Amino acid sequence: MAATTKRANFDLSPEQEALLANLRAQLAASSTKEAVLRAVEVTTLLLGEVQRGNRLFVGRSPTTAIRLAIPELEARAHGQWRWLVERPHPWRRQLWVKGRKLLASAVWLDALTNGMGPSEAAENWDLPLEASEEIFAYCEANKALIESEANEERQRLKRANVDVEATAPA
Amino acid sequence: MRILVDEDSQARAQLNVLRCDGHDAVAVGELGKNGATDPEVLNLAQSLERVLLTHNTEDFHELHRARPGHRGIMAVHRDANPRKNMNHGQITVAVRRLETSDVTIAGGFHVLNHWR
Repeated sequence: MAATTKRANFDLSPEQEALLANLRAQLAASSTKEAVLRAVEVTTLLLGEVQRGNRLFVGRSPTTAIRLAIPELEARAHGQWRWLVERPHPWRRQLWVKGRKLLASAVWLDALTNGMGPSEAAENWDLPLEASEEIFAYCEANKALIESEANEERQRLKRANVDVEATAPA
Repeated sequence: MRILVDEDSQARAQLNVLRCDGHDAVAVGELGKNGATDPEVLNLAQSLERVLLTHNTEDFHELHRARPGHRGIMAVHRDANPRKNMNHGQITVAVRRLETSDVTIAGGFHVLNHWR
């Protein structure tokens, strides 16, 4: 049995170590490894549900439950997309238009901001209508993720002393 | 103004409005450069001596800090709420306001939301 196991080595910052210790305590796990594996099981279970098209809800009763949108899970629920793909980015998780450096939300928000629908957006961005319709469907289904990324960008800019809501000097 | 319009901003209607307002605007896609990375786009703007117009605010702000010697970057922050966003006409008005201000555009990072 021992011959089939592998030792995993990775560096942890003090903050990450504290997170793991907290997770272990919360789960009452016997070891950090057990805590991580239990977290993996839960995440895999939730991801499977989201990928099957199910939505996650939390609440004390079915009538008061609210939708739980977890961006990391929502971004992975893209098996059905034909015109959208993942693209490496330090913190963005939403999908991009295949073959382009163009966020799905760029097309969708540009269209909504300018009062356009999928067919006008397709013409505006030189995209097939089917791609534009898929972008609209994806963005409608991932509003929470798109909102969280817009907030993330605003916060990152603020930390770099750029306030997008400021006014230009008169 | 001589403008290079980034791939995330090159909606045909946006290009039309900019050109109608008298700007010499060319889009990344019109140069066959769709898919170019951010550093490549900034290099392109620099080699063409054009001010870059983008919605990729945070990534280009980081590039601006790392490589300040460019012709200027005009960035539009896109909110998730369309009602808070600048439409094509408002972006064009903001470009004009920035251009006619006393602000030096070359080498600067200009958030167009400030000029709406």
